[in-house]
Amino acid sequence: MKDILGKRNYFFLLSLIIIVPGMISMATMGFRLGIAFTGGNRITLHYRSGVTPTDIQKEMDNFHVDAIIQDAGPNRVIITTKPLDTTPPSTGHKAQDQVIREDLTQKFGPPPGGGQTVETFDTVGPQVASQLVYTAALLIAIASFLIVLYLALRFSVPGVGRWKFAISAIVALLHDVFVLTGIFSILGRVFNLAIGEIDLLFVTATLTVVGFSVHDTIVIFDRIRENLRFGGAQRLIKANFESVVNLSIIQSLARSLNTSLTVIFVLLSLFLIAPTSIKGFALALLIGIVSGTYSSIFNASPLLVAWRDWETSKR
Amino acid sequence: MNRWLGLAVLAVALIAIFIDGYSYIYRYFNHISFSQPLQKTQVPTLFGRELVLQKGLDLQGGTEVVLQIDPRSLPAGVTMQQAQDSTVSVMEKRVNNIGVREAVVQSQGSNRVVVQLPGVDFDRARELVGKTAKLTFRTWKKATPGLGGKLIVPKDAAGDPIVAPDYVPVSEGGTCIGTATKECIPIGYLPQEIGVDGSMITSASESTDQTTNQPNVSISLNDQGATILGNVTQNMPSQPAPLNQLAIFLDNQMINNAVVQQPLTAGTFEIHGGNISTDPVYRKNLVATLSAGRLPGKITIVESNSVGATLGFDSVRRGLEAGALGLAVVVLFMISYYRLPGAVATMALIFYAAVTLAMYKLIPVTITLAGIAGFVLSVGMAVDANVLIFERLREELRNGRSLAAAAQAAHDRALPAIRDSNISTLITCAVLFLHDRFLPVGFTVAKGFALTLGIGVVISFVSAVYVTQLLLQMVIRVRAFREARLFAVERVQ
Repeated sequence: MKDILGKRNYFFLLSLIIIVPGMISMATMGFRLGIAFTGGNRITLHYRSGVTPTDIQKEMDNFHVDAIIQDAGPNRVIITTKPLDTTPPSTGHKAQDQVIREDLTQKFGPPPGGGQTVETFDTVGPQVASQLVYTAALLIAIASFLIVLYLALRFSVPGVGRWKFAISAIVALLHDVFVLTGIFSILGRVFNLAIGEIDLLFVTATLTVVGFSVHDTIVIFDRIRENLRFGGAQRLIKANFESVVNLSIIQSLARSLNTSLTVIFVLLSLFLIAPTSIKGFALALLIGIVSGTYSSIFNASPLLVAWRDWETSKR
Repeated sequence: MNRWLGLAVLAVALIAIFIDGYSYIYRYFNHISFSQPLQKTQVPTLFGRELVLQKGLDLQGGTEVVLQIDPRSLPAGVTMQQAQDSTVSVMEKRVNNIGVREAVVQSQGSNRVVVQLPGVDFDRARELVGKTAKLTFRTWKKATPGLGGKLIVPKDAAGDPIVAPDYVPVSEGGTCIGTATKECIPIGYLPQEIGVDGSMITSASESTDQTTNQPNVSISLNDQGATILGNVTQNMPSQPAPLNQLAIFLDNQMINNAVVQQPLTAGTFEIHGGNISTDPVYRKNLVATLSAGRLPGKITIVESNSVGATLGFDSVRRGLEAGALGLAVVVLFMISYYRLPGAVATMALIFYAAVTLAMYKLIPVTITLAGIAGFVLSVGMAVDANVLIFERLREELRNGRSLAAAAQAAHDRALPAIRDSNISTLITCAVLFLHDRFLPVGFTVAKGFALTLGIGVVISFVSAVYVTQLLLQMVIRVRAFREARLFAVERVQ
């Protein structure tokens, strides 16, 4: 039988190799924040053939609104600006955003096949944006806390204790959150890619990864719990907890990989076909789910063993 | 016992398929072509209940606006809770007056109101809901000139000037040059409220001037408003200009300023000129706004999202394509890896998809792009439960159990893992779905996702644990299916 646990330090090391650069990037450069967090306006422009994004950049520069143009598929760009004045100066007069949108429509429309030139228009005031960062972090904390409570309730195995399972699962969960946020920080700030932009869907993706990560870990923990209970093994735990855990990981390996594969198939198809607005979302879920599978096999259970060993050696 | 369970599953499947396909049944009985989309008036209903998929603004096009109430602008004694409630009701009236179908108005957090307007672009939405629209009647009073002849415009409680700068003449430091459609305020004067405002309006409507044939807006005031207006205008006709003029302001913008020919005692009058005469959309919005009544305080647009109809249509198509492709790959994988049980799982997956879609129509769930993603992800979780059971099935078969015993054992042993992992996902869904109840900020995008994922997890649990099991037990009774290679093992007892 393969000895996964024996190599656990290598697996911990691999996780650190991914997480540490991400954390450095997060600490020094932060994220490429979407308008949901910074405040501002965003326009999806579907322009006619013959126009280049450079033309649009030049046109937007005339308005002096710190416009950033991002490519978003065939004949489409996303224009992000600082908060525009959306209050019309008076009745019958146009607000700044309307002036800009009408100018863009007139100069760069209509798109091939017809339809609107300005496809989407979003505005976020700075007062909304500042509260969101806090809300997002709080949501992740609340969800994690409730899951710890549930796990503590469900996984109480004599000889291992109530909290070790729960806390190991949460460490694996935090691992996945840091892998995901770290990679996005690197994508968005080090490589300056638009897909690394953090928006509300990214927060949703992170929360889903939280759920999935625990989901994956639970399946292996459940096998450990079962092997400890039914393996005729109360004595065996004390004798060799490590080999029980190793056996459980091997037994659930096919399932872990197959499940992740099916979810990855679904997400890949979302990533390849879905509209640009949810491409980043699909990518975030992909990263999170790959990380979640890895951490449930190579981090959560090995951590359980390492913890118990450390506790035993203390006595 | 199994027979009853089987009948129940069959019944649920049939009902679900009936609901899913109801719009086609509806078309058949109403002789509507299957190929063309249904009109707005043709809504498939059953027992008075609409059975359609509600599409979110990002899928059908439209505008969502988040309004925030300024606490400084509230009159004494009015709480934020009351202000929020009455803002919701005023906005509902405005939206109904203009006739937007399926518009949604609801409060959010402690001081915000969300308005969703399907099929309405941002500019029209802003016209309609973005205005505080406090209508006031004002007379003119000599102003004390400031430095260099500039007009000192006082500020209101929320810190905005009582007259917008573009109504103040250039010579007095404003930007108004005065045109045929836009009048400046009189030089050397400031407006003064007379105590009649929008709360005293009993009705407003579009009408036509009898003599000039010009379009205008008729307004009726209640008794209190009529009395004050009568008293104030009593001596005005004999005064010199501009003391004989009565101005009407909407917020800090002057929409009308007219000479009072005779005291206004009837409480009914007409306003015209400027945009009222030239712009029919403006006129319609003004009437809708005035008849909806007064907002309790000042509102500002703090957030908005607007999506064009063509993009929405494109998103639906691509979302469905992605879902279909993902499902097809999963089905191929399941059948090639798990063989017969994989085919059984595919049946269960179809059952799952049919029931989920029916639930979306029944509850009803508004489908957004994030909602589609939630659904797709829940398919992944549904498959996971099957994978767990089938891996166990293989293991038990290899341990030498008979097919029936192995199927039962696989189900029993996989159940705790499926239950615990699904509950942990549901905990996340609940936090996401309910967060705006206990946190000051809400993000709707997460709610749509959590709802579809949550519904998906519950149905997939039932589908994977009971329906797959049932089908599996039916299949293994058939002798021809009891072949080892169909279960991808070496030997079946």
